[in-house]
Amino acid sequence: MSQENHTPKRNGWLEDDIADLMRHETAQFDPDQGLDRFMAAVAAHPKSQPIPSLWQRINNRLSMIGLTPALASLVIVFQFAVLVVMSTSEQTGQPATEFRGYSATSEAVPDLKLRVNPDADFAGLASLLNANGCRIVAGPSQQGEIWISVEDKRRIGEVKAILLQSKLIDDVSVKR
Amino acid sequence: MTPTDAQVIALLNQMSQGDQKAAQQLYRHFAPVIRSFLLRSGANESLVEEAVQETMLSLWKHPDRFQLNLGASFKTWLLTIAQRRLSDILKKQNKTVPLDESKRAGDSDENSAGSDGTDDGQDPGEGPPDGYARLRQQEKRNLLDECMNKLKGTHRQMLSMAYEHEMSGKEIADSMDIPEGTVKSALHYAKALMRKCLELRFQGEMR
Repeated sequence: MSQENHTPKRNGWLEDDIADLMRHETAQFDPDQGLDRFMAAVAAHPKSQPIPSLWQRINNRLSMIGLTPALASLVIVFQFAVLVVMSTSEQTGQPATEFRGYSATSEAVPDLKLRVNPDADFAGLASLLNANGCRIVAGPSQQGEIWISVEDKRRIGEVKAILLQSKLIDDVSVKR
Repeated sequence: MTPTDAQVIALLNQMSQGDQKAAQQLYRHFAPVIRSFLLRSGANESLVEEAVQETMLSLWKHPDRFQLNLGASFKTWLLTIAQRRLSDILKKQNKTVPLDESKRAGDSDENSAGSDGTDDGQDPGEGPPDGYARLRQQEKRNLLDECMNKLKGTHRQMLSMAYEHEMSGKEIADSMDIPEGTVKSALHYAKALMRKCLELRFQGEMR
């Protein structure tokens, strides 16, 4: 019981007897009077679960997958760092590939290195090489280079000249 | 036995989780206290019962509204809520004079003392009337009860708060929305009336 400085004086017979009378009277009241009505009202007003806050909902979801908020924050920071590193390396590395495609290598030794025109039709290029007994052994590189071997090694010079005349190819150099 | 504030807090916490047994326990402890206190105002029993039910139901609905750090005890807080509920009910029913028939039968404070309700300067702390101390407790209670019924409802409630519930003057003032000085003078005045009434009654008994 909190008592202020100005607690009513209670040091006399009258105050004591008033307190005694009132407490006696209060004790006469049946504690169950009106209880049925009250409990019916309580039953009619069941406690609804409080709507969880956004933070509580996040917490609940995290706990469902076994994460604490601190651990989840760490994961997010880590993922963000990975994204930053990836985007940075993309910006500082090679420019975007000029020639996209499957780069293959072969055990065959290349005879010629071709620098393919960026606008070249690959099907046309394949026909040209096939017609001249050439086989792709490596490439294309990001710079559009292809390494080829010539089946008839005696014709390397001839094949080089033929390929140089094609608009599909910018340059041809002998590898040996 | 009245639970301590710590026990009340525990029960309130249980209640906020939907524990109906905790609500029942609090009701059995405090409904009689509220009922007794409100009946002292002179309001009739059905209105008091309404106020008791509303007070306890509001406690069930919002157990978190009681904050110990406000400096008041739970009982003080609850009696204040109950008093306001009863006032609201009386206002709704336009009951400006909430006196029971039984209470109306008695004289008012003014009739008994011929005073304007302020401190009359008498000292109610003087000794009891001759022979009073020799009365048995129940006889004293009967005499006091007669005199108590002569008082205004607000005076009975103030005496209840001050001496039955040991509330401070400030707590009573806050609870009744009146200045603390008014509480002090009203208590002094009510006790003076009680003493005067006792003297008259006791003299009558002795004749």
